[in-house]
Amino acid sequence: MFEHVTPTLAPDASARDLGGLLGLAGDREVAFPLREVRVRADIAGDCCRTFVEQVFDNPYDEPLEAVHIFPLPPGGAVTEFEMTAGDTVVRGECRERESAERAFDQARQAGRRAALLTSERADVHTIRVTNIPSGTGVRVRLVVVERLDEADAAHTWRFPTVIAPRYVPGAEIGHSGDGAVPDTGDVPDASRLQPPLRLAGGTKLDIEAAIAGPLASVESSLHAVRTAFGGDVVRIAPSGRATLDRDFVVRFSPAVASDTPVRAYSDGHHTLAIINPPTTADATRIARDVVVLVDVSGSMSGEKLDAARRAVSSVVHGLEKGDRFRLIAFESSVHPHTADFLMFDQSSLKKADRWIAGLRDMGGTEMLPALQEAFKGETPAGRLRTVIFITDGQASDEPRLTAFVERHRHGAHLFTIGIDTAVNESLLKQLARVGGGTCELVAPGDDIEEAIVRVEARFGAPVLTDVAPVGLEAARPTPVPLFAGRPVTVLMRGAHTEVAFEGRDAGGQTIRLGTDTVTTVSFPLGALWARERVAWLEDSLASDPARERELKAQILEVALAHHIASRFTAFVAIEECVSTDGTRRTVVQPAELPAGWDEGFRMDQMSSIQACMIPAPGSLFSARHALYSAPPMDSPSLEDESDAEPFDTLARCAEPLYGPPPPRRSFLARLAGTPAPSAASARRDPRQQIESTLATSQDADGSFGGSIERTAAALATLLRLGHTRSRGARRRVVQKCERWLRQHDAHPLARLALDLLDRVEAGGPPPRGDEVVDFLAALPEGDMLKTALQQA
Amino acid sequence: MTDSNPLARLRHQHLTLDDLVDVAGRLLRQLDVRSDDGRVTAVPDDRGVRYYQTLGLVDKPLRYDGRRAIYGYRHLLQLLAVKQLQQEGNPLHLIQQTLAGRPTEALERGLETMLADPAASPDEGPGTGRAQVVTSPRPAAPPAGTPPEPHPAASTQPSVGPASRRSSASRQSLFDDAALVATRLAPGVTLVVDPEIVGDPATLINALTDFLHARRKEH
Repeated sequence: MFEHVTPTLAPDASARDLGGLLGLAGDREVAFPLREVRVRADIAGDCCRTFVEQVFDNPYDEPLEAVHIFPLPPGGAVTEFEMTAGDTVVRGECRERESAERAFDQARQAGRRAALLTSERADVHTIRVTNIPSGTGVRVRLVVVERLDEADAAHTWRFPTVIAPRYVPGAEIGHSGDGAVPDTGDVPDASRLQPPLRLAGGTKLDIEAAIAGPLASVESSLHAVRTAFGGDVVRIAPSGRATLDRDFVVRFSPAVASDTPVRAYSDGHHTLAIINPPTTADATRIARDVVVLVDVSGSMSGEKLDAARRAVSSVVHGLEKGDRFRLIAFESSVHPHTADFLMFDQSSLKKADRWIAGLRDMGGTEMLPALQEAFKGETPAGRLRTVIFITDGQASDEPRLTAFVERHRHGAHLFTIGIDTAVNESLLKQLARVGGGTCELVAPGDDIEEAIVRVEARFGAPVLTDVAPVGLEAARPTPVPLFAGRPVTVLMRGAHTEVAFEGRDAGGQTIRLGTDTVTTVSFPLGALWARERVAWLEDSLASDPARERELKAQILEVALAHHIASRFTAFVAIEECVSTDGTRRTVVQPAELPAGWDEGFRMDQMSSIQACMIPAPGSLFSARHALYSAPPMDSPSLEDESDAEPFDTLARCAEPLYGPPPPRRSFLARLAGTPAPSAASARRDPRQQIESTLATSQDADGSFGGSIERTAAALATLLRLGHTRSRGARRRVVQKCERWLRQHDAHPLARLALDLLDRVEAGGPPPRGDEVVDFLAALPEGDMLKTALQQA
Repeated sequence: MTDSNPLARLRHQHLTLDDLVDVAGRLLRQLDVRSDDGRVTAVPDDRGVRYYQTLGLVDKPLRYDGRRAIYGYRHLLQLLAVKQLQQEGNPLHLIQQTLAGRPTEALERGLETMLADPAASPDEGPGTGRAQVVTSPRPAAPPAGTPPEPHPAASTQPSVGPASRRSSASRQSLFDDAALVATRLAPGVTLVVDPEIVGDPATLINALTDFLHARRKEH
């Protein structure tokens, strides 16, 4: 007998209390398996060794297999892995990935506790821990070694704690991994990259960096921190409760800056050298064709888009006469401001300002067509194309983007500026590396203009090109460019007593840099060498997939020889005894939405990160605007307390002077159709607001509205705030001001301002508040400002 | 879940995303799930299912048929559980925590009362029907890393018993105009029937099964 089934329902609604049956009671928090992550970083000079411990608990009634897809610093090499359950410690073994996975599967079937670490991308890793008996826990420890980034005499250690939702282009083709999104034709490994999104709560993060001192400064941009000085070590850690919702970023500079051209270290087997770019007198400037490519996808929503607008504006205002520029915004589609390059002048600058203010976020993150547009067309002889890519980097099609840039940049330089609390550092660094530029990462709440000015020195030609060791092979054998303020690290096999490098300067001259002082260190440089070599082989594989067999074998060989994790090697730790039997529950640990991300993104993240699910416009956003839960660390004041007050006064004065700051409206405000100060601008101090207003209201010719009085007052204000021709984040604005005023120095106010500049440049004190007021008084609004000042 | 579970026949059903949404939608409409303002709670659409997948509330598909994701019984239970828990007023973040990786039997137990068929009296017991509803000729490999799905009665006894023989105008059959019913007649032979056109598929299936059985004996 065969009959249709007619499912019917319990007529009594009270009998349908599923929550009760599933043990869901009120607001009781049911924890996810990952209870805590502990991170301890040991930083000495240019290298860092990080100990990471992940604590998994099984709160369920049945045995558990926990899956954790998590990030590690993209340049880091995992060198050790171990699993601890109760008193049993099992050291992980580095094996070929397939073999490790097989051993893990067998252990799983046999009911043994086991842990497996696999790497999916340079920064994306998966830990699986299986057969955790009900009510017990397992600790997994790993060691990561890396070298630190150095820029503008400061080192940065950035430890990622969350993989942000990354956009996946292409049509769905399968779902091989345990992640939350399917594989697509464009990203065939997408299902291994994205953890599910956690709706509430967060896993506790206990993180601390110990930096060998003495240090001149140490700060953290995304966490409020406490700093402890003891002995020769400075310890820095978040001061409040931290969860896995943003990178932990420590920026520090040593008390004694090294000014030798090359520093070298050896552990007896490998040699690491850091090449400082020589400071050269400004070479004849090459006129630039600057393309600013800005990401306005859904993930940029909120504070990040504010920051991106300011970054674009700052780049454009920093251009010089003779430069040409093109602005391109992109999300799912590409929105160029103009079809071709515009000459930089007052009218194109104003047009650009209007366009920038009108940028809105929407849609996906289709980077490939955007990069195609940016590199499109010929660059005329005598001009240098510079592409500045402003984004959070939240896309997952890294290999094809890298391959495209490498093949199609034709001598142009690609600089990436990453803005996020959980930036995709791996992608942005890869793109900069193959794009012949540098990668700069900033926090959305940072002073973006300051960051842009800091890196602007590099937005052109490198100081040296084709830098390579003499007579030795670097782990990355491709010669590298050397940019102002950005030392380059080179790893070589063997212990050497001297190392030398050669490169070419702008004039084509060969420049030799070297040292015969090689410091012996106990740091495992072999792992760093191997990591760098693997990264180079991976880059080669991305640009030439046809060589897969050969390159894969090479990666495997290097990674196995040095016992480091890679895409083709994995660590596995298996306990001897049997812990469980029966069926397991598998839980993939969900990850938090990064701090500062728009809540609306969470509501509709699928459509924002997956190409196959583009939503109807307008359905994208809802809910609240997410704010930082912890304020950033207070930056140490450059001025003493008594001087703080005049800045408030200036803030009030600046607005009538230079007009209101460029429109910055929060996502919520846009929805409501009313202007409102954004979270970012509310938090920025008045000093930053004046500076930012000055930077973005300067005309293309360097004047402020063509008025001598205003321009002179602007210069005086900048000087008062500590900026000069050669110092301070706004030196570019000062330089342009000065140039314009020199053409009008018949005017007494212009002369007065230039005299002040000369005084400061000669080492004199910055102008006093009353000296600046003199300038304000000369303006038509002067009386009003004076009154305001007197009242203050 | 006992065989009075009206969803039992779906244990080995393979559904496309559209089918999954359709079946879940029908069941939820039957449940007459209402939200506070009296409107019927939105039944999940394909985007909803995707969203739940990104939250880990719904597992990844069983497999892909070309580019089409194929879902199954467990996914259906997960969808129903999410909707039922929402209906009971639980916030989604608590549902996310409580449903994470929850085993199929636990979902069945939870949903049992909710879906109980009052018409199927316990004394009726398992039927004698020979046909099994199995759309896939071989059991789909469980996705890597997920615990093997329990295959309770299905392989040893018919998963489709003589369920309710009573028909009621108020009751709407799950398959009234649902997707095709596929039945494995013998190893390697699967029959697909459109219940809308073939009024009495059971007779046809049984006749064909007998025929194949006889043929096999002959050879």
